[in-house]
Amino acid sequence: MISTIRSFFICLLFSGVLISCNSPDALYDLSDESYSLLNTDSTTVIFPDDFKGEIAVISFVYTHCPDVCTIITANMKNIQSKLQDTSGVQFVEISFDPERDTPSVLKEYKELYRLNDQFTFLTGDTATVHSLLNKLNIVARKTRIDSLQQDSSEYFMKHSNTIYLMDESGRIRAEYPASFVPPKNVIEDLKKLR
Amino acid sequence: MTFYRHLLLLLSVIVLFVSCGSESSGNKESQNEIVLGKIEITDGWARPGMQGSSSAAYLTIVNGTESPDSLIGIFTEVAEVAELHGSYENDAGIISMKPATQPILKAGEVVRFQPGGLHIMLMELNRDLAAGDSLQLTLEFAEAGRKKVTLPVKLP
Repeated sequence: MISTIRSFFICLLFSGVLISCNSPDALYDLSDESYSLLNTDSTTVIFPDDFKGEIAVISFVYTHCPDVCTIITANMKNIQSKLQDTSGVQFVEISFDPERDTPSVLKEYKELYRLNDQFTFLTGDTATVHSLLNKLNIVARKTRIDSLQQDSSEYFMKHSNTIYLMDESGRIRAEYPASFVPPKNVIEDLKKLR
Repeated sequence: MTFYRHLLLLLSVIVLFVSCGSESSGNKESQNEIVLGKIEITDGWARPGMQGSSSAAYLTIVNGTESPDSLIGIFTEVAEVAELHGSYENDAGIISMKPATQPILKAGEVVRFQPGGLHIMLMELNRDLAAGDSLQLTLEFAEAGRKKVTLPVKLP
């Protein structure tokens, strides 16, 4: 009887270990989610399904942001360039500002920053983009700035400063401060996911 | 002989006065050069940006004069609006940006406009700015007047 109970607890312990191995902690689990977005060629991209099977480094920007978002893009590019083996890795930038960031605008931004095809820029209809941002706890709020020189209809965004690492199953596994995380920190975690 | 000795002494005194006078004048000129001394603008560059959108310019201002000065205006033909902004991150990691007051530059002070902090916002660009292009900015200072600089557009 004691032997049976002991065996039961050992089995329970092993199954617990296995469960934890198969379901590592995810900050956000998108594995059962599906968002229909557009890439720079206006082709529909199903996020995250179309990235499953690869690791994705994901950041969030908007093209009217001249300072911090361009730092984020530059840091993404640094991560890519410092990663010796980029096979099986995608770099994804999702716009906070789908109203102005149409596919063609994102395409021009991508070209200006000389990013290769390993980078995917995503936008879409406002409701879908905001739904995804909410799911990922990404803050993006319009703010009007009355210029010191003139009233302006231009708006800017208060926004999160985030890079996420998403595993091959569509689970967000790590989070970083996008504009200043050292690329090696992301790369070390990325290698663990391979 | 005594006459020559007195003459020599008199000449020496005159030479001394003249040389002291010219040194004093030289000091004044050199002080004037410092007072009128340069406000230097260095390390300038701007980010790429799309026509109708925004870019940012960064530079360092060195107030090499002995007087405080202030930046009172920024002008350029590449954008409808050019003004000083700052990027800020709060404790929750949320980034925002707002116009910044024009800085007062103390004598000898070095002020850096750099990514993630103070920068010159170029809003509503009149043309694309691609890496390899350049743009002209004119900075107006209360005391030193206008300074024109040419900045390269480049990737960080």
